[in-house]
Amino acid sequence: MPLTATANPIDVRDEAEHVRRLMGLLRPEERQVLEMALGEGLSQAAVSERLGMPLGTVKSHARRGLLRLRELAAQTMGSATASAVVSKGGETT
Amino acid sequence: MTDASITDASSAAEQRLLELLADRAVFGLEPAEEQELAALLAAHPNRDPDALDRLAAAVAINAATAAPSPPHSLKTQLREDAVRFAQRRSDPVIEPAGRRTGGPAPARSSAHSSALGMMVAGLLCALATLACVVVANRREPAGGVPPRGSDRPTTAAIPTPAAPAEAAAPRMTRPVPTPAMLRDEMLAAVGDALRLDCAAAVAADDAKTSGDVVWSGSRQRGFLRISGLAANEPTESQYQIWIVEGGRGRPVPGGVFDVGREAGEVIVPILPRVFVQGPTTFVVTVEKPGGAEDYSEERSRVLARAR
Repeated sequence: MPLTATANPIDVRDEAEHVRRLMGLLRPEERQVLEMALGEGLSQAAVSERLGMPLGTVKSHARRGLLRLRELAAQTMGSATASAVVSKGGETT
Repeated sequence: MTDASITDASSAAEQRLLELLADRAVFGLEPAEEQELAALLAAHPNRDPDALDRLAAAVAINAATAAPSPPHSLKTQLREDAVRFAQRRSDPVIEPAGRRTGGPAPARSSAHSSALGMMVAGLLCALATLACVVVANRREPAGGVPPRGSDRPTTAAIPTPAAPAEAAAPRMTRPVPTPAMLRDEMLAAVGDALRLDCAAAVAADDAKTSGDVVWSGSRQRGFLRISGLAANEPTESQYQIWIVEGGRGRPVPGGVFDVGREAGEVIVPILPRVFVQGPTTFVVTVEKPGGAEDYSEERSRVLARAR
């Protein structure tokens, strides 16, 4: 079920639990950057400073990590996350 | 233009579209990038422009609910944010969710902002509810700091606590949980958390080594707590964790770490690159800086084995 403004807490918790499992399949640096940026709300510059990585590297890790999550979700079709990342035309986006 | 070059250009455009959608979902875009994205989306109408935003929101919820104990200020801020976003649902321009604490917020198209704003409003409402549920079910360490000073991380791979500028930011920030905090939370809250005692693999020089491994199959991560390992020089060698599964012949790398000269007890995360099923043994080896691709028993120093 795609996440919408009317998603209830149980659906969101299932979604988050699924993502938690998929996050375990990312490279550590990708997972770390995504958790800091999305979980802690840190800016790209703040993540860069905290991890001692160049700005471009931080961006690359975040980009690769999120796109890898998309691929993993698409591979586990039938789950909430998988349906959330399938595009309108049936492609994965 | 040949068919091949047209195909290459189309593929490159789609790749660029994905990159921009991912960048927007995590850190936001500059105005020029926003324009580029709009043009690419117009050329690819079948693409769902919000799919990666939804995935990013799920990651944010996952990270927030995985925290051992959200501070009271964060819970209050989440509730206020949820109310504010709900009130702005009908506004023509909606600010992006408060994911970032520094730098200018990127401008977004009103159509996309409206859809994304409604989605984020719902997610934040749900997140606020979940935060309350999580807090009600978990024990909060006093002051939100590790209970024992000796549990602080000593490895180079562990991020340090928030920098002053970020720590002072008023919105959506929380202390970075230490490995010790995360380990305790895993033991307390994760039903499938497995705890194995460590034993020295090389009795001669590691006779005083002791510790344990905590592992969760559902979370696909764990923690090694160890004391007595000799200090290493990171430019010459590093310790590497390996996970041995019952059904897989080749051990899975679980990350590298260092032990400083003044280190007593060290707690390091175990972060495999691939899915691990049914681990039976965790081994620590000494490897070249950065770690090795292949496991060698000859280099093992410590192991924790399920009985």
